[in-house]
Amino acid sequence: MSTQFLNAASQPGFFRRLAKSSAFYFALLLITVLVSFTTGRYGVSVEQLFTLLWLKVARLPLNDFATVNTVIFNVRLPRILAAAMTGSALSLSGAIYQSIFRNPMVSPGILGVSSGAGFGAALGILLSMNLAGVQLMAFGFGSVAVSITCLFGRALKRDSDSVIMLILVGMVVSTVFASFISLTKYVADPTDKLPAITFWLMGSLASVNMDDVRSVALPIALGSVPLFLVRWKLNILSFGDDEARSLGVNTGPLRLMIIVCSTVITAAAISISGIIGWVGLIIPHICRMITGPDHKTLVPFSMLTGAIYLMIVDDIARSSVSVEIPLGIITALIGAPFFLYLIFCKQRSCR
Amino acid sequence: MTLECVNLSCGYGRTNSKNGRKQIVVQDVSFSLDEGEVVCLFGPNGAGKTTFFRTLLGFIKPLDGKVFIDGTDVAQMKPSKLATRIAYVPQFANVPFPFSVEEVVLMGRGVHVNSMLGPSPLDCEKAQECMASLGISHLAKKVYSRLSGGERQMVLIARALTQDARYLVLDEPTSNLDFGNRIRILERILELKERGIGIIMTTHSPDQVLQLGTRVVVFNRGAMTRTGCPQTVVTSSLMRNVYGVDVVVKEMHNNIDSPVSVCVPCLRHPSQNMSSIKEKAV
Repeated sequence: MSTQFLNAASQPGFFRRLAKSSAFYFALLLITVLVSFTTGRYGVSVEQLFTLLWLKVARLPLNDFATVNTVIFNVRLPRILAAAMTGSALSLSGAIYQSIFRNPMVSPGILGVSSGAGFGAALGILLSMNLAGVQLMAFGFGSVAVSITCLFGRALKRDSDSVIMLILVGMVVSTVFASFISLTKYVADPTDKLPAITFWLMGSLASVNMDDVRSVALPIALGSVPLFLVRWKLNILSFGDDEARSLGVNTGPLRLMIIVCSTVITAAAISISGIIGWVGLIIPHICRMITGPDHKTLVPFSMLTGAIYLMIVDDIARSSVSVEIPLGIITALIGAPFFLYLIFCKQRSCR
Repeated sequence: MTLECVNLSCGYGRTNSKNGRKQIVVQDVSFSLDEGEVVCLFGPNGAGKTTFFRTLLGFIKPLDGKVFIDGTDVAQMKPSKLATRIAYVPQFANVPFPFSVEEVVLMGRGVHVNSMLGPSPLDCEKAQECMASLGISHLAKKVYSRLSGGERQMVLIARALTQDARYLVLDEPTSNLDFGNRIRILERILELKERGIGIIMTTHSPDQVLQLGTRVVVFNRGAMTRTGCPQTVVTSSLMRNVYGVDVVVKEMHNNIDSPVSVCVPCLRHPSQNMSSIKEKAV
């Protein structure tokens, strides 16, 4: 048995095939969830976790486990769910935007959703709204920014390259909303509101509760399903408008549907997590290296990997030092060097 | 079973705006293409060949006139319907991702594939069949973007064939290819013609027009297009008129089939100028 395993392991491409198998991925997901439940400032062992689960299932009195129960179900569970949802939403829309904009360097924020949502949240904080209000503002302004981009992109498009127009207008809209963010920060009260805005913009899941998770689960699910259903067509869209049309794809309506759905899921994710960069750029990239560019497998793998990645990042955020580290900082610190490494690898394989 | 252009004018700008802003590139072209025919679109750069076939394929709306495929107006057809009638082979496909040849060819089945489940075994079989018929089965697992120009062209033709369309539009299928690959692609095109596929191709070579074409549409900047049989249309006076160069069109035997016409350019000898330069130097 063991020799068989060794043989298999010594074959070329063993790790690649292992990484491709979905069983491996689900095992990884399970392990990550377990680790996420047990890490944190309040130590919970795996044993305690399973005992607690047993007590819950059997409906026995919790007694000594009351504190563990609170930590697991009121604090960690919502964070883990939120991390998984945000990670998979960002990776999904990243993978999809990279294909419809025909550029592997595109991230979900390309049409202005991040800076729009950032401004919405900053404005909400400035106007002393409650948490739900701030989330709603973030979601709303994220969508508004993308709508502006699409309207201008449509009005300005020439006969062929509507994609380039969208990207250019997206840059403009992002810049405008970024300066609006600066303006709100400039006028915000530096003792309480300014730190709140700054903290929100760096991304965090520290204050997430079960209600937040419930309120964004629906839009994320509603947006993901259509995207998941058309994922094979993304292959064709990545060949560009003319060719996609000649291959029988009605590009205009399909692209609009894709942008609307991606915006809904990204804005929903950002509204509870704040701005987390690099996830939507890096994760689809890695997955493409493992599974190949076929979106039929790339899309689900990106979602799964994104979920796992952000859960791990959140674990680091809440357990590495005594204060919470904002998620955006960690994803950038991991993402940027990794991206450089990817470019380096690509350069070498080209030679 | 014909593809028909009726008084087609194409170009850019809004079709319904009355006060100008229209940029007409090609005006009033009429021709028809039966299955098993080859129509060559011929003419200098910028004369509107590309605009014309983009209109044929429904990428841009005609400014005037209509295109009918088997009696149906192209402007009224959905892309999914159109794709089963007419397929397009671009000059080169620019994909940012490393798709395998197999995956690229399968995209020709776009209309038939359920996008939830992906390509069915039947689609894969069809793709294999088309690759085999072009002799590129051995490329199936290779990465498309790493192939040579000739191989890429073959893959794109295979992709178009999987669409099961009766008409094929090829955009300069032999540009950027070396001499051998050029001939091989032309042989494939002849083969497709024999199979009963109607072919429209743009080309810069008068020889290709004379040897492959059953009909030619000559585009000339700022002038009316000319349509007709290659042997009567492509003459030295036309070449003089369209390109401003002197050529001789001669009949030749290539030991295989009936005589073929070739177009030989008369290169003006620069000796006159050269000698004057030399004199100055001395």
